[in-house]
Amino acid sequence: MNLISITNRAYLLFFFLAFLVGGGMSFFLLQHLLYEEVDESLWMKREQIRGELQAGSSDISTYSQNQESSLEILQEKGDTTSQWKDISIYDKREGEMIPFRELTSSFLIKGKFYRLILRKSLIETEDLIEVIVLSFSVLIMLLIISMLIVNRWVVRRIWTPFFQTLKELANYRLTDPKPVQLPDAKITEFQKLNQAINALTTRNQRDYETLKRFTENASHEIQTPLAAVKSNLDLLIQSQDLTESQASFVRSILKSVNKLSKLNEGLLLLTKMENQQFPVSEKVDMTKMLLSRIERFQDLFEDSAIQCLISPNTTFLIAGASDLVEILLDNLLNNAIQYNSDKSPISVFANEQQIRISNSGKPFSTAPETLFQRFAKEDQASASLGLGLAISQQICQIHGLILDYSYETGQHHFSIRQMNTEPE
Amino acid sequence: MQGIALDLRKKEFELLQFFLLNSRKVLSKSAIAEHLWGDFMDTADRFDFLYNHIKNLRKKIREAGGKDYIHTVYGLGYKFSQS
Repeated sequence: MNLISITNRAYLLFFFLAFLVGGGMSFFLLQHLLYEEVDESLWMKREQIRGELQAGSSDISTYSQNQESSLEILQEKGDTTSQWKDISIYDKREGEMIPFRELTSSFLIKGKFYRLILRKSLIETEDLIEVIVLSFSVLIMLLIISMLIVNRWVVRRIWTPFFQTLKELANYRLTDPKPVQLPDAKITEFQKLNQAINALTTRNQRDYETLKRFTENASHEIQTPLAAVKSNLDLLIQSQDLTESQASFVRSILKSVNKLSKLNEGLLLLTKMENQQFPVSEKVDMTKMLLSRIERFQDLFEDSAIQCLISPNTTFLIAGASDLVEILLDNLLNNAIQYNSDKSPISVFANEQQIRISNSGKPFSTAPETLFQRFAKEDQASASLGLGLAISQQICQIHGLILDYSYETGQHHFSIRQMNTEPE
Repeated sequence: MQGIALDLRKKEFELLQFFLLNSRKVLSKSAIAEHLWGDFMDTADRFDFLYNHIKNLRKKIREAGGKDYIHTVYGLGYKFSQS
């Protein structure tokens, strides 16, 4: 639910309640007021007639006997009280029942009992109330509608800088050296928001740069002593008089140094990619490269079968750095060969939009999302460095490719496709 | 080598070439792997593929009447020498 609909809902609810309560109250107030008016005028008329009777004329025939009033002389004694009543009388001309207010009063004048009945039609009063209520409702409706329109407009207008900021933030990448460009906001709250975001991103960027530079420097600095260790080890294994136990030490040192050097290479590669040191401007045919890499693999790993499902003449062209694409394909192929569980062949599929490399195996115990993280290993004791997939994904990222992983029917699938294309 | 032709596969040839260029020198497995493979690889010590190639190369040299020139050195690496 968005901002406009929430505020509109609140307004509507509030208006409805206010309309109900206010409308009802004013209706009854109005009715009461008008009735009082009617009662008062009836009473005044009664007083007038009584005054006239008291003044002398006892001839009641001068008073009209009609629907509105009737005066009669009572033979027996009556009580001298007044009674108010609401009645309805059928009107022949109008053909409907018309409400009346009736005042029945009796009084004693000069030894005679009179009974006076006065009536007043309420039809005008009712009409008046109707008109007032109607115009009141129309007014309220107009008010609500204009309120909603104004609200919509105001929200759109006022929140524009907020939505711009939101859009900027959605597109913000820490690895992108370009800082966020937040629009100028006239509203203080948004100004503060933008200031806070600016401060936050600048701080993050700085921390990130520091961290990146540290990794970069560390990798570079480690390289030289590592090379020295390696060349010294190389010299050491040339010596004729190594004993068996010394050799086993050297073997384990060699193994560790090797791993360290590979690790360093991997981290350096990642850093270089983060620093965008690889121009992605060459035209690379992924399928062609894939075929040549597969050939190399088959030379190297004679016992592993690779089933190629690539129809000839397909080209999957991307703009990229061929060195990196080579590393990407090698990594994926190497992983497939390494983790292929049984003798079933690794299958490689490719068309114009995507490449898929599949191998059989048990499902991973770790969450697939963590697969592409650095140093994420399925088996902590494995010889794998845990950098292969992180590097692969980074390569895909800088080429605008998407690296997907899925597992179905005992097969691990890694697929590469262009961004903005749907997986098959 | 004594005028006898060997029927080698590409990687076996590369391997032999590497050995000949560095004869009488102990070559560590990682150095050989790097030569054959070249680029970055996520596996630091998976050298069984190397073992297969060396085994095949030895076999082919023996079948062509040669001696076993490739010596294993303490499990550290291999050395190619006439002796």
